[in-house]
Amino acid sequence: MIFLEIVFGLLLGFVLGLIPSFHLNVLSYLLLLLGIFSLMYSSFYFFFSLATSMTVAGIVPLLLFNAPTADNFTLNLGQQEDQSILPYIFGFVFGSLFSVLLLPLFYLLFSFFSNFYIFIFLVLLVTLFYLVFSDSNRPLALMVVIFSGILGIITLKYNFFFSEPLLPCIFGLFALPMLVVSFLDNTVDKSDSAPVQEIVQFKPAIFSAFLGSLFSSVIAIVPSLSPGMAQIFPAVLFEKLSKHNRKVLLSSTLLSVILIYFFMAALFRKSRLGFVSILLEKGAFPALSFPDILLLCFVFLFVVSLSCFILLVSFSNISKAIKSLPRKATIFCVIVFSIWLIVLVTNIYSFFLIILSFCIGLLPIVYNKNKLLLMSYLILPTILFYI
Amino acid sequence: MFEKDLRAIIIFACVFGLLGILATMYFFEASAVSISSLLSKDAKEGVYIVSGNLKSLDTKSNVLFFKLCDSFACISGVYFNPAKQIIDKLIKAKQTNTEITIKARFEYYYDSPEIIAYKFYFNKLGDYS
Repeated sequence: MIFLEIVFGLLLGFVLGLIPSFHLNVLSYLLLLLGIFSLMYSSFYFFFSLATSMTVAGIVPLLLFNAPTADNFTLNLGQQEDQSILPYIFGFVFGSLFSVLLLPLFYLLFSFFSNFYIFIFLVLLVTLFYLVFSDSNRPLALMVVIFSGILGIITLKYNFFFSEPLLPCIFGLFALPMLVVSFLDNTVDKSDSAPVQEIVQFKPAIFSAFLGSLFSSVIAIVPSLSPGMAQIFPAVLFEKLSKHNRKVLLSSTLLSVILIYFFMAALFRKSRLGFVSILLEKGAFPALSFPDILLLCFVFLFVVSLSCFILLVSFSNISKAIKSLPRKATIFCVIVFSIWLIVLVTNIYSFFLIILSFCIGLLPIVYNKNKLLLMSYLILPTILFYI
Repeated sequence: MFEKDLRAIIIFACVFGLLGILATMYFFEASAVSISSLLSKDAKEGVYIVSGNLKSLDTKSNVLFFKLCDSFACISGVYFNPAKQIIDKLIKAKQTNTEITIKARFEYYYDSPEIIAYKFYFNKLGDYS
């Protein structure tokens, strides 16, 4: 039975991951709307496999459409036509191995720091200051932080008007501007060019994967930090990571947090992801004994490696199939589908929030700033919560 | 390095994960025991599967306290951070006096035997939480 759950979750997650800008949280609201959680609340490993393989497959639309989610928007670091999937897969595979090995460390860190509110407050404050002060044009960076922060405060802290503001705002801030830019981009796509074989050195790449798993622990402990923030920590500590190693690090973080989020929810009943929150609320998380934790880790390794294998084998075909589609029409369909889906799972007023957050999300693109500045949307309300 | 080696590593990780799942399920499968055997003097601490009827149910500070009884004996149990859906199902099972099965860790708390519940199975088809 458990194998059926795993395989079914893996395949469904892989297919859903190929849908551009389709985040796990949107899926969770959709499943909630369809009543799936109530029907399958005992299928813990199905949801776990689904979340894991969806994260792995989510790299494909990012590479082919430049269509990110709130978690992986910092991953696409190169030009569209020279994208190779290998550094990402390397990051996923080794990130999953390291995250399993570092799970006891995370347990200790979480037990010690989760109620240490001053630590969390300081990490958030330092992160925000770093984002602003590391920028070449601080007033502009501060403007992006203030605008997105105010949007966060209005919609998350003092929200009297909107029932589910997070989904439309996150989509409007992070995904929609990139999709619109891709839509308006008139660069001729080199459909026939094979991906450039990237030279990735083994040792630095392993080190980056290790760092990714290590920093994902911090990201999981501190609320409102997204996996995309992982690039800040090595930037502060190690200065220079090559472009490929940054890809490895970020994909490692992206996947490590999935294991940690599920582990944290099962052991501590705390959640940092909407998908996990809904599973917790619906009673789909059994308490885990030591053998169950072992099983969770092995299932994670199995699902990650199988998803990566499927991705590695099928990427060229998926890529060809997607590139054969009319690019602009496809991106337009993705934008319309995503907005429709968010309005469907929330309410019609979300449309206004999407437009508003889209305007703020355009600022870093227009002024060529770090898109992480938009994370102020989550960070500022959380800082205010701790004051 | 790269693609061939990476492919080999992925296959190795896949097989390792699969063997791990099988080994965990084989070696750590919880055995079904009666409540009476858990209350006997030679009962060892560990993870077991026990069945019985709920006799009392109480929630305090997000901890669910219950008593599970079979025809001969009762044992105290706790379940940490229960979801509302689980509490509702347990209340229903208690009201209808339905037999439930629990995967739980048996241990002595201040020399008193008790079980810490991990999963509740509400019917014989394996519908659990």
